[in-house]
Amino acid sequence: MSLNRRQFIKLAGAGLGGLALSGVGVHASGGSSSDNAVAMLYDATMCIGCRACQNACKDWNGNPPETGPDGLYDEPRDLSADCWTLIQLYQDGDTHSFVKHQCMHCLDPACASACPVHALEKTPEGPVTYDPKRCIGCRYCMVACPFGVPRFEWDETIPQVAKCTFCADRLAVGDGPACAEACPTGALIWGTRGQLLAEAQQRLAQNPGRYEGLYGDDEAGGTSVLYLSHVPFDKLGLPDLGSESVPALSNTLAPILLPSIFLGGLAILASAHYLTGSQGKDKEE
Amino acid sequence: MIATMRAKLNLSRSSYVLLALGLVGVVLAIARFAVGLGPTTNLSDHYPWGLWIGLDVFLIPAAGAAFTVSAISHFFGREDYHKILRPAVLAGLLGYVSVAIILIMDLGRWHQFYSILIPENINLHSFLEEVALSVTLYTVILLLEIAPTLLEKTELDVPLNLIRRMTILIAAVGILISTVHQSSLGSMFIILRQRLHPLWWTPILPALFFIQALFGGLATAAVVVHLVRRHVKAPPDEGLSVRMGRLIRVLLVLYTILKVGDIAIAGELPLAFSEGQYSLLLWAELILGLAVPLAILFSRRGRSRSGVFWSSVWVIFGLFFNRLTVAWIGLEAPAWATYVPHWMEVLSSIGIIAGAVFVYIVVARLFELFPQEHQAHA
Repeated sequence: MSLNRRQFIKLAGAGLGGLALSGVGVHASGGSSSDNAVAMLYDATMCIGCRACQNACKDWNGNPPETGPDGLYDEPRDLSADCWTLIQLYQDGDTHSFVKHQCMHCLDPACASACPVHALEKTPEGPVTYDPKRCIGCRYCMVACPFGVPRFEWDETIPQVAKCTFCADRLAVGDGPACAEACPTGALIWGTRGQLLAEAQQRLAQNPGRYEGLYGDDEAGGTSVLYLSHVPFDKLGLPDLGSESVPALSNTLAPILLPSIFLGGLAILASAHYLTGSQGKDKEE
Repeated sequence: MIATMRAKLNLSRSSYVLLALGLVGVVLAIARFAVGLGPTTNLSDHYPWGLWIGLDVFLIPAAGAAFTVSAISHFFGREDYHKILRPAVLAGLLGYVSVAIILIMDLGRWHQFYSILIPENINLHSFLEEVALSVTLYTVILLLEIAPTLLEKTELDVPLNLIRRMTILIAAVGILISTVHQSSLGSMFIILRQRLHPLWWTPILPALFFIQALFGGLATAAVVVHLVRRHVKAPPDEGLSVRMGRLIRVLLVLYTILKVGDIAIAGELPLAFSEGQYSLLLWAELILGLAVPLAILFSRRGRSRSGVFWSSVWVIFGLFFNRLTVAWIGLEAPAWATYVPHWMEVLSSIGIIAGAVFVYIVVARLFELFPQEHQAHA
């Protein structure tokens, strides 16, 4: 990471500014159900890449450091069964940005639509949760996720799917997600989705030249992790997915396709049977 | 008694090779369950699906031999297909059993497979759930359909007569379940729009998959019947082979129009030349799996039993390419991630299929797969 001092001070200053904003209240008013569900807002212009979020995530979830063969720990390069959130640096010439990866907790998640047994589910509170007692380990969720987030415990004899839980266990007792509570600069804040969308819009309005835009308000049907960045989002590994949710087509087809194919097949069989007059002929077999 | 059975079996050396491979498959399956997927496969977070899933997605339409022949003979009034019902149903059953074995090996949490059957777990939006339930149920249907072949010389008259009386009902249920899950297998990939290469992703995947199951199933039936007749020295039926070839030809033309038309309408024709290995894969399945068999079937050779046999072999080959691409190779991963199947994935797959072929040969030797012809001889 080749941050020079001036850039560091600039970023840290932005971070301190953000800190003042991070005490967003938890009261929400009106709006759709997703507005009242929990969400996170990550402002890449305020992130200093300290990875406090990453370590807080490991601590809270009991995920061991991914040591190398020599037993030494170095920063992971990718999400894994032991690394549910990851800070990465994007650098291209003078342009650089940090970016935080974790489950996006989509409003209409492809993983939950794909999962044959409801092991993955979108809860009304916001998190997409995983129940290993239902999971058969088919990994359809991993293939279906447009962000490539779910991971698998490949080294276990009986593995589980692993991903960010949005600290649903902490939310249940009134705490915020470990990563957001650990962020020293306010680059990562949490609250209701309605509040955070308003906050993001306010930052965009106040600093029109500063940001590339907002990601997650309607991308892939909307996500619970929102991003503000000064670098194009696709450079940060946030693909352009359009505003339709990923499982929308599949979810629409499922209730139509299955009964109509079944009934269509039945009609064809019955009429073929009747027209060819083959009733009864097969009984000798 | 064992001596007479051995005399009746009279296994050739190649059968013992199949048996040995099958046993290797069993050993590798045990190893996989003992140590997990990590040491026995090269699957990873970026290649969560690989050879095993690809094979399953290929074997399901190949095993469509049973429902296609069953539909034609039971419901479309084609008595001539009745003669090959038993060999086709046996091929279907062993195909689905292979699918089930490979699928359970692939499941990380296979010990909870029953989870798909628990009503409160069932996700009606998941096409995979529908496929998993159907494969389970249809395997039972196929067992009922093969039961008369295996039990007709026993004293079990009561259950046998019950199954015989319900033949047409069992067949109807089997055909309907197949129609639904063969198309659902394609629908499974609709949600993977971001992942599956655009040359293969299309909203008409369920239709393409169903038509593939029709010609793939018929091609498998043609190949299996050709080989079994030779194996058990049953007289060939030239006319039926040629009629099957004509039916496969119609279905191949229909599929080609839909497949190429879909790519053209989506404006993706340039991708057929610009996508490196993906373009090559497309051409492989278009040429080997469609153009070559169609050329044979439209030529004079296509009106012979060997012409239909060889064009069917090419059809199955093309289906193999297509299905492995949809379920594995065509699912895009980060450029730096790689996946080449582990030798245990390859050898276990070969072992399971070899084992299924071995069981087929044993059943073909011990039981009557062509009863009507046998009666005609007697």
